[in-house]
Amino acid sequence: MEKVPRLTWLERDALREIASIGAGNATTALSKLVKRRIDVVVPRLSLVELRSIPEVMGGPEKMATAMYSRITGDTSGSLVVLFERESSYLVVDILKGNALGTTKTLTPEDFKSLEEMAVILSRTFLVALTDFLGLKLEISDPGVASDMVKSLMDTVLTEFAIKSDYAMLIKVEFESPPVKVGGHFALIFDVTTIDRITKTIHEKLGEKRTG
Amino acid sequence: MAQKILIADDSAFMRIYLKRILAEAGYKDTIESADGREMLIRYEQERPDLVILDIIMPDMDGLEALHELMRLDPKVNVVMVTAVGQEYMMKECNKAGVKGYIVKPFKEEEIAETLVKVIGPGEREVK
Repeated sequence: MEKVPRLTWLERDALREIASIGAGNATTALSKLVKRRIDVVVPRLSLVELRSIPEVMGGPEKMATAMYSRITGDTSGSLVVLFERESSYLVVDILKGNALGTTKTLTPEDFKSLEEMAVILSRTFLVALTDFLGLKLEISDPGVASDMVKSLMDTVLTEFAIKSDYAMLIKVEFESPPVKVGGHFALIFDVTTIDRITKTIHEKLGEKRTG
Repeated sequence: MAQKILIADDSAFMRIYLKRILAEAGYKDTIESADGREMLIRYEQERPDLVILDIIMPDMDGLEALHELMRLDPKVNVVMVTAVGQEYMMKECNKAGVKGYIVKPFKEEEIAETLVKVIGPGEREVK
């Protein structure tokens, strides 16, 4: 099993900043889509084992909605955008211009709306990352599902034959008064990619990585 | 005299990265702050020629800090360097009087080009 890589505080800070850039750009795209102001609260980043994601999300049986895409190119992996189920209802209300609290269950039309949003959110997030890191990555059209967190993660891992054991988990809060929606971006990459990213970070700082 | 630049960004990585870009462009006198409140204190103490200001920051975010800074010194040169590219934010910052707005991720030359326009070229070493 791959170990969660040990990073220096500065490398962690850089990853958080890169995640923040991705989230900021994704928020801009989302704001254009729904034609309203959306603020993003300083995102929090952690490197976690994949098996611990359900716990971080509130427990394996917590109901959530996931939008997941395969990443290919210089590296392979997956990007999963997770919202608690109630939050995804609010997102649907905003996307469809409904009064908040209208959506009580997700219809096929709602899944379609979330899928359209996921395309924009995921692509923008990844483009910001690749631009900054100089990686060439492509992202597939997303799948959308609503289920227990553990089942959702199992689906992603099986569907994309994920070999990695950990993920960069970015907790983001979108705020568009009176709505506040919390979500997670899980970037699943292998150790080699994280190593490549940290190498780029050190190059940007004008230093060569030692050790 | 070398221009002094204050970099306000909550990410230490971004501050060091910007500092490197600025040094390469000849702007070698840089000072830093990690949030809006600290930026205001450092501005009053040091009176730099230009402030590079992030928006998404804890404690006091960049927008609130920008308004405070403009109240403190309406002639201050501010360039926003932020991941927030929403039109309303750009408009609000422009209205407040910023001299530049750069969206992260940026190209390194964008930083230097913008600074040259606002405060003139940095001091390059003659070899």
